[in-house]
Amino acid sequence: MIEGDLFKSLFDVIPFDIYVVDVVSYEIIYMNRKMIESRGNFIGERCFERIYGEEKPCYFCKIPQLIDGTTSRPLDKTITFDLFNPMDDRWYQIQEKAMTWPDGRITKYSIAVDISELKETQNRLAEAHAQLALKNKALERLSITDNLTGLFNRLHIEDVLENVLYSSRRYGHPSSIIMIDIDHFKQVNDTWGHLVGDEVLVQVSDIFRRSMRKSDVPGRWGGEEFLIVCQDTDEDSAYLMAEKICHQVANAEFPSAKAITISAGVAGFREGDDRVKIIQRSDSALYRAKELGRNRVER
Amino acid sequence: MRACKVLVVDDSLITVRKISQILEDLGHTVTGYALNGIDAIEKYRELKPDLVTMDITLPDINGIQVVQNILAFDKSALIIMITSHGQEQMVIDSIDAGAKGYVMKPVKPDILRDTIEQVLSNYGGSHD
Repeated sequence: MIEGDLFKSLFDVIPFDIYVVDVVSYEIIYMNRKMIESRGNFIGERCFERIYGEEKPCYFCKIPQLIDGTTSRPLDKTITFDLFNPMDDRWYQIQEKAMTWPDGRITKYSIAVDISELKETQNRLAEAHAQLALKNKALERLSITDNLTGLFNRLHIEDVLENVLYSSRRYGHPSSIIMIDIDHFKQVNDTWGHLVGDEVLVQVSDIFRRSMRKSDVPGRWGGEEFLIVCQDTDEDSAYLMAEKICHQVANAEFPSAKAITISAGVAGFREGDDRVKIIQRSDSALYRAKELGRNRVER
Repeated sequence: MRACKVLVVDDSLITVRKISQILEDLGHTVTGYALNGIDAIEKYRELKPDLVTMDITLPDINGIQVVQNILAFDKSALIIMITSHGQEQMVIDSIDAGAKGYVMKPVKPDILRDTIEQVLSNYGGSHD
């Protein structure tokens, strides 16, 4: 077959892997000399099994894009793409086009250029990008976190509160806040020292985290003060939650200090509220809780 | 390095075997594998592995969606992408989704070892 020999002699001088596949049966009907020398002779076998190690035609197979869906004839179209082949752990740039083989069969030929060395550099660059993105994430986390307690810091909890209040104003969703202060915290520091004071802050923060729903956001307001933002929560529900937290702290064991209690002031969103107004109300409620004997919740 | 129970997710069985071999050589146990995204999510819930290696290209949903789904179920999940996608945006999307490491194919054992060590020391959660 002269035309077939022509293809073969042409393909055989190209120093890259070339193979030709019957687009209906996926049978490999030709491999050039270079590919046979480097990979072995797979003629007569199916491309997806022998070249790519798949049990069914590859998900990335380009045959449907290279053949006219109506006439089943080759389209005048060449597709070039990069592909990692797990069979030999090599990267290839592959150029594919459909053509009519001399015996009349519709085929697809693939020219595969090994670009593993080039990819090696690109891959290290991608991994460096990942390192950078991870570092940025860590920095982002640090910038909104209180480093002692791991809760959000004041700057971030204020942002959270602004967003929740915006949602309440715009959509009428209820929201509430709980302002918390550890009772007699100065005495804890004065009696047992600041390290014990820090341990108490950490332990109380852990109790907050454990007692809350996913949608509640706790933050350290400053010193021994904390603010919990409760979205989609009316004042009654926030009050109940604050009481629960108050009991849990009072019943918790603090290894380095004697019993610890907290006082809390609850305020629910009201029409016309902004951040300052709702915080003022929760502050006043907290003040009342302190005045009325501490270890209690007021609203 | 702490020995981990690992779930390997990749659409190619050959790659699953290769990654599993590297992990076993590093002293970890491959507790299961998945060849598609839905199976990966189910296997994670069932096996509760310490670590997941995740491909991006999967036949049903992509690996980044699987990462989001697993983290919605378990926010402490440790997931390392092992992929042939090196575009910067893909890397950033994966990290934004919550992946804790990114390794390119072909997997080099020393790079995978270092990445696992880094993930365990930075995020180090244990299901024990």
